[in-house]
Amino acid sequence: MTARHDPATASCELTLFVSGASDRSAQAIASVRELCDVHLAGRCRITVIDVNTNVHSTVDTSPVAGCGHRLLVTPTLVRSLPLPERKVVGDLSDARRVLLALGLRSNDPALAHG
Amino acid sequence: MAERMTHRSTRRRPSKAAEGLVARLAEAEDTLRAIGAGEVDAFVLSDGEGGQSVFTLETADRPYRMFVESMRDGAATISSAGLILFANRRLADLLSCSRETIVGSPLDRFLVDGALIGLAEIRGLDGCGATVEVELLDGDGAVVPVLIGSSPLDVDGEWLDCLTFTDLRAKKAQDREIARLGRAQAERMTELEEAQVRLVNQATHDALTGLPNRALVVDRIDQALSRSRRSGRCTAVFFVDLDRFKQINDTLGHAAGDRVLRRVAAQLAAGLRSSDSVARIGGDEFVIVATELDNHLHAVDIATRVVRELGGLPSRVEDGERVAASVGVAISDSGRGTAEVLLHEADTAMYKAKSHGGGCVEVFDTALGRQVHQRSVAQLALQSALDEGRTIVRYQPVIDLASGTVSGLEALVRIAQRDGSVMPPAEFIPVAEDSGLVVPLGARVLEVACHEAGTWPPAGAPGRALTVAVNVSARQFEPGDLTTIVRRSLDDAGLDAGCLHLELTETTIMDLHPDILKQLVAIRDLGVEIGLDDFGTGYASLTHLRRLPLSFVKIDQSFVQGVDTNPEDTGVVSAVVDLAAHLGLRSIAEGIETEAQLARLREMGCDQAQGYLFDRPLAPADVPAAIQRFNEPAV
Repeated sequence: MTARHDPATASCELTLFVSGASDRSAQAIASVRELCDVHLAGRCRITVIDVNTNVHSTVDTSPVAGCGHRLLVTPTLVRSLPLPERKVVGDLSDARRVLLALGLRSNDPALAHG
Repeated sequence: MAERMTHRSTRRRPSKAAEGLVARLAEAEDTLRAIGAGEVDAFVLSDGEGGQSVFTLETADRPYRMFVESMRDGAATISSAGLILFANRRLADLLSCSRETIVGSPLDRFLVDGALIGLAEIRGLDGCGATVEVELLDGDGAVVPVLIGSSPLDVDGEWLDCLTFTDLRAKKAQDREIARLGRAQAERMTELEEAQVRLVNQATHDALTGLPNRALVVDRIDQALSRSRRSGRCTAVFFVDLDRFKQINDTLGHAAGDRVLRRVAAQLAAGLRSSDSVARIGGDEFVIVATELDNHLHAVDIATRVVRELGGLPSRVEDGERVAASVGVAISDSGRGTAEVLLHEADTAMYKAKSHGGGCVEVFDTALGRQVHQRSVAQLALQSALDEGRTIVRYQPVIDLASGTVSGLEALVRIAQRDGSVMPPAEFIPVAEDSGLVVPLGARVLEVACHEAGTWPPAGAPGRALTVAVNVSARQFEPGDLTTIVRRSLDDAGLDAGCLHLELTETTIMDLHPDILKQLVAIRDLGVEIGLDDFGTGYASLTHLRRLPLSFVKIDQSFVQGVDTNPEDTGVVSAVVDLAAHLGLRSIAEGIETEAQLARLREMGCDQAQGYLFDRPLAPADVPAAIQRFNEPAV
């Protein structure tokens, strides 16, 4: 029963912001796909957004001091649901670190209780 | 960092606002760490009103660049004005230029024919891109064929064109090689076909003269025979063998012999109608096939011409030896027989011609063949007599019955044979008429007779010169210049026109062509008298007697012979004499042999007569003596 309300084990929606097909972005996409397939299998939906072709206005990004603009860097992985929104920026290759930052628990028991 | 924050939040449970602030700080901290660690590739700055700018870090598009740089094709972007804004390394290689040279240059500069293949064509006429084959001019001046693919590119509102350049040099070389192989193949095929044609030609043609050989001529004869079977006309096969050819070969050598054979072949081929063929079937043996002939005489004409043309050919051999040929003729009516039979018959006839001494024509011995043979002998004899000037003219006196004196003489042509004998007119006149040789023969007689008459002494009657009568054939009117010939003969001989009489046979005027009548009137207007020969034997009508410009009629000897014994002949002759008198024409009786005939004609009032009773045809040398005998009273 508690597990149902625990955001760490609930179904989640992830949004990955990338910039074109750069090395880093490509690496980020690969990392997030692995994350979903291995650690969050069956309870995760991901959306990949290329900032070059899409406007990312739905995401709450950081305000830039003094000009009213907001800043997003890529790659950034956002946990849109469950709320509150959580983000991880930069290198996404370390699954343990990413899961921790997003407040999610892996399906893999070794990692989940590690 | 996130880990630490989580620990902190579980320890103190701060307020919601503080929690949000902490989260933001942690996020900012995380972002800065990621930037510091070089883990980001782009910054996206949004203005909060839907607009955004993306700043891509320099290293971020490396894969794109690497991809573009390592493409097999050249790549470029060009501005709407046609300037090259970007070029990849491969394009620089293609153009043998540095990238610095290419970027900023107009694309036109690298097109071989910028005027023809313009930017519009490369961009695609509908602006949606295109694929065009063009030739580029590289930095070294070499031509590089490429395939340009273009696609329009909207970069922040400015339309660029994105071009790829596929090098076609290898493909072109391959195409050329394929084409070359194709041509080589075609040439080889042509060679094979030509070789095949040569082989067939060699199998069916004689190598020395290029004429068909025996195999082919047998086939041609068979074809001619099947045509004759349908048309009912004649096919003739001529076996032509050169006389004394072995002698030429032996004395002058084979090269000279070969030259003669080639000349003969050319001569024979030149004289043929397109439907006829000539073949060389052995050393000096040729075969001619003439198709669709009207009759046997036509065949003989051809054979005679062959003998004559070969004999008179400029193909006299170097030492003056004359080429002569013997011709054997075999004729098939309506396609009778076979090629082999005809060749055999012609061969047999040719040997017979050889046995007669060569240089002549022999027709394969059938009843018709014999008759035709005589024709051909006469024709050859006549032709050679004309060529060699062996025509001779005899003169038979025409006696004025009232005075008993010679009023004139009729010129009668004879042919002297090579052996000295004289050929009678009955043997050669029909041939002369049929062959058309009567035209030169008649002209010759006219010339000679006028010349002779000019030398004769004056006639007995004072002031009256002796006349000379010359026979004229219908065919002499055909060339249309008889008037000219008559006038020239008179002028050359210095003879008065009134001394010349022309005698026409009834067959001449049977089909009285307006042109003949015109020529007759012109000749009469010269002062020449015109008469009708052999009257009563042909088809002359009273109309003819009235319409022609006549001065006399000659009563045929067949009526004269019975004038004193046969009442019918008597009646005919008497009627003709009366008719002539009424029409104002003189009557002349031919072939008088007895005194009784003469007496009867005198009674009837016939004007003049000629015949053996008075004198036979005389040699020119005997004419003056005869005139003297008749015209000077016996002492």
